[in-house]
Amino acid sequence: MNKSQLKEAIDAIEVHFATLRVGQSARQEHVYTGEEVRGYASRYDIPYPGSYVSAQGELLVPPGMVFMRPAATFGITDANAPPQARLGIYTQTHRWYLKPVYVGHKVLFDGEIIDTYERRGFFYLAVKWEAKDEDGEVLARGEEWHTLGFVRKT
Amino acid sequence: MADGSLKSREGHEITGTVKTARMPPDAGAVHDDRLARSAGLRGGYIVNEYHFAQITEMLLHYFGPVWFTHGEIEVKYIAPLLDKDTFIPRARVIGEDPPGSGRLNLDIWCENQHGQKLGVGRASCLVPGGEVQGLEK
Repeated sequence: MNKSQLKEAIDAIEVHFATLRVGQSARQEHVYTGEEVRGYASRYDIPYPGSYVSAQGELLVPPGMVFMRPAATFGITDANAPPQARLGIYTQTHRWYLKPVYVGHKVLFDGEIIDTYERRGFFYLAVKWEAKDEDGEVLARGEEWHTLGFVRKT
Repeated sequence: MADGSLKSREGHEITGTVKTARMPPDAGAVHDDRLARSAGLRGGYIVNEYHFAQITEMLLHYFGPVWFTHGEIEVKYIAPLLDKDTFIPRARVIGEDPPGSGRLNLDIWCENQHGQKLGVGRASCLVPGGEVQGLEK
């Protein structure tokens, strides 16, 4: 990565970072399909279904799949942006699990930016979220800290 | 709550399944070795979701299905996991907190083959009847 590419990536991050506001919110819905869950299990070497079956025999979603993605939700999603400016690195996560999430059931996510800051050349985004089922029951909630991109401003 | 049995678990150590980390074939951006090195990183990092998946797998095996309804976990990622590194999830039982709550607290961390900590944090879960499934050493 040469200096002009680095600058392009940093500029894209800075411009996007300036648009983010604490309190900015997003809503998403998601249905975890069997294929998606098996893909996750394969990707992360988790035996599935293994322990992820309810007492009634229904397939459960591994807890590690249930969260709102901060950078994918609030970060740079433009496919034309420099790849080093998109997505980023998880730095911290805090999650609470309240009800099992079933494969094939709809999950509604509400998320909100709770902090944005620059530290040691990286631009950070903190998000809190809550996941509910179709009856409005809270399934899980969490807080995520994530960088915007993975290049450091020098 | 059988706080006596929870008390007896204090200091117990747990080790999850030791694995060789592998880069997912469709990993992109920071997980791409070439891109990551070009940005000044040591190499393509294994996504931190991998760490989380292994740690929560360990906790699910330890606490059992109650983890799905009463589990709490906080992790800070402090060092990168590289392709083909050994990944070791670990935990140590701190004790019941708040006292009488039936909620067992653990220090959690994960490390590589060099003993370097990659992630550190805390986890807790309600333990009905003071019983956990196992894995303690």
